[in-house]
Amino acid sequence: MAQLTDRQREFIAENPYVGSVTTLRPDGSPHSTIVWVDADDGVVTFNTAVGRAKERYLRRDPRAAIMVVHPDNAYQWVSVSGPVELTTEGADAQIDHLAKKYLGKDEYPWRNPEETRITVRITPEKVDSAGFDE
Amino acid sequence: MAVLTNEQARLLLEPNFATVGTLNPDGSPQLTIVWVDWDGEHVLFNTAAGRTKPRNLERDPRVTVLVVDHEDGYRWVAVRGTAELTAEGADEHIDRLARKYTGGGWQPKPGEQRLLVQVRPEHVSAYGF
Repeated sequence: MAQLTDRQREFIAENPYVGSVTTLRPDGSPHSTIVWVDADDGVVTFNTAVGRAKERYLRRDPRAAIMVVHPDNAYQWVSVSGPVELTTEGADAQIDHLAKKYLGKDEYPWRNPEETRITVRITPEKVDSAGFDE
Repeated sequence: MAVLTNEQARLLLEPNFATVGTLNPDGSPQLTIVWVDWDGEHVLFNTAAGRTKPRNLERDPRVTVLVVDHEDGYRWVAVRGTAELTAEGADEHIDRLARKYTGGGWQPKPGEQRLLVQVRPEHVSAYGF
């Protein structure tokens, strides 16, 4: 197990920087996409919808890696990999929180009543970073 | 095979950074950040022999390269494909990348063997175009 430092956690939690997340397709090849990301209680979280590719892939193989890069300084970044847990509990509140963080809006503006939001929690097994001088 | 539109290719030609996803020996994903380029057919990046990325790619060449517009995080291109590694032309290539990203030439490090990685796109997904 690995732990995020306070500065790494704040870098992810307190900035509207997107994350690159990589999951595994059924044939084991990598799949990468962009997500809104958060960090709290020692885990890194993002939000998706039930039925999307990364959600289906993570149900099959729960191993993920995520990297958050400072958009104005690519030499500052945090990368976390580890197993994920998926939960729909609190996922609607989480997407609202992420909408606030990324868009400054109190509610997620693209809510679709036909989709079920789901929270992905990555427990850090490995943490790498650059640009934190610690 | 998949192709990039001109606009998507431009994202790779501008000095945007890319995250590269490779596969560890146990099949788990590994992410790193790289300088990136496009030659009209392949996504190109550069690494050094002995690092995790090239070791992973030599064992399993399946890779993703995701490039985000540094001015707009909601504009990105993700390429999935197969990587080929070669030392041939790798020193010239890292020098070209250094000029693109830093404005200055590459300072070779003693004992370091550069490797050019060419990824032929098999699948492209994009957002914000």
